[in-house]
This record gives sequence, structure tokens and C-alpha cells, in this order.
Amino acid sequence: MEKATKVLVTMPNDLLERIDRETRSLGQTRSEFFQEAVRRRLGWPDPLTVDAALLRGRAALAGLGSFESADVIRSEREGRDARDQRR
Amino acid sequence: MPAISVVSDANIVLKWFHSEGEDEVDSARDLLEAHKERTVALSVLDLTVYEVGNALMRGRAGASAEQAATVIEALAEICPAIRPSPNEMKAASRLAERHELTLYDAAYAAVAQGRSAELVTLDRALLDAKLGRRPGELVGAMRLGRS
Repeated sequence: MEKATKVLVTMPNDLLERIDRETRSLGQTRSEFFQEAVRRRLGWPDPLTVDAALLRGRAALAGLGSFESADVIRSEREGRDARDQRR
Repeated sequence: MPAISVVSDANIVLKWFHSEGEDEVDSARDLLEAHKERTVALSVLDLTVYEVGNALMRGRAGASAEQAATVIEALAEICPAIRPSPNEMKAASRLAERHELTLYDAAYAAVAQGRSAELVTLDRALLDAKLGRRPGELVGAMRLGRS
């Protein structure tokens, strides 16, 4: 696990109760819940970063030819599922 | 207006990068635009990275390791990848059994349900089980203001 530091935060009781209901329902700890929420908040995309990432990804796949991704993924999942069942 | 949470199936993620021979590319990419505008909060599963890489390298797409790695790296910069919780995997097992899905399919549906998110997919099994929506359907509903 990455190095982690304990922090003390102040929170209204009603919000904390909602968080606890949610973590119970997800089977997560409070720490896991906060980490995910913060990562998501910080993870809002910078549109320029997204555009640059899309350009790179699209350029990489240019000329790959014609296929329908739903068919490719379906075939890959069924193949994997069949291998899992044989184990 | 709060953003709509959307979990994207791997088959939609590939359409963000590849268009030749693909259905519903425009709708799949409209979701990306909404994500950039923060009206949609897109996410994928940790599993998606492997599915996208495998589909590109081992499926009939025939991509090289470098092409797949570039797409995987780009995906990490676009939206977060969720690791399903133990409870979500329990729910996924139940969905897999009830709808005769692979656990891979069911994991997407369980995470979306567990987090009050929409699942966008073009996977026939998930659509038939009414566990996900086509991107065109979701984008159309968003435009009408009734997601």
C-alpha cells in the first residue's frame, strides 16, 4: 500500500450519517469512501488533457480497419468465460 | 445541475478511439463531450483496461502492444476506473445467475446499480436484460432533460 497519513476532518452529523449508510451499502470503510470521492473530485477532466488523450489514442488506432467493438468485446468475454468454466 | 454518473462498458470505450465499422460512434463520443462539460461523470471499471487491451491485441482488431498501450494510457487520463467493492461483486454474482450473464458483464451492471449510475453499453446480453442503455438512448434522454 502507498504511504498514507491520518487526517482529522470536521463534518456535519447528518452528512456523516449519509456517508455511513452509503459505506455500509457498498461494504466500504469510511477511508475507502473518502479516497474514492476525493479522487473523483480531483479527477474531473481537464478538457485539454482529454482532447490530447483522445488524439493520441485515435492516432494509435488509425488504419486498424473495420470492426464493431461490441462484437469484439462480446467474443472476448465469452472466450474468457469458457476458459474460466473449464478450470 | 448535478452531473449524471455513467459507467461505460468497454465496447463504448473503444468507440472513443476507433470509428471504422462501429455503430453509435457519435453518441458514444457525445458522452465524452458531456464529461468534459461536467454534465456527465464518466467512469469505467478496473476490468475495462484489461478488456480494451485484450480486445485490441488478441481479438480480430489485431493491434500491436504499443497501440494498445497508447489507448490504455489515454483512457487513464479521461476518466477514473472503479474497483468493484465486495458487495458489488456479490450483487454481480446474483445478476449473473439471474440473467445468465458472464460475471464480467454483470460486474458493470452491479457497479452502475450500486452507485446510482447509468450503464451505457452496446452489449446485447446487458441490453436484453435491461441492465444497460444504448448511448444514443441516454444522449437522447439527456437532450430532452429526462435521463
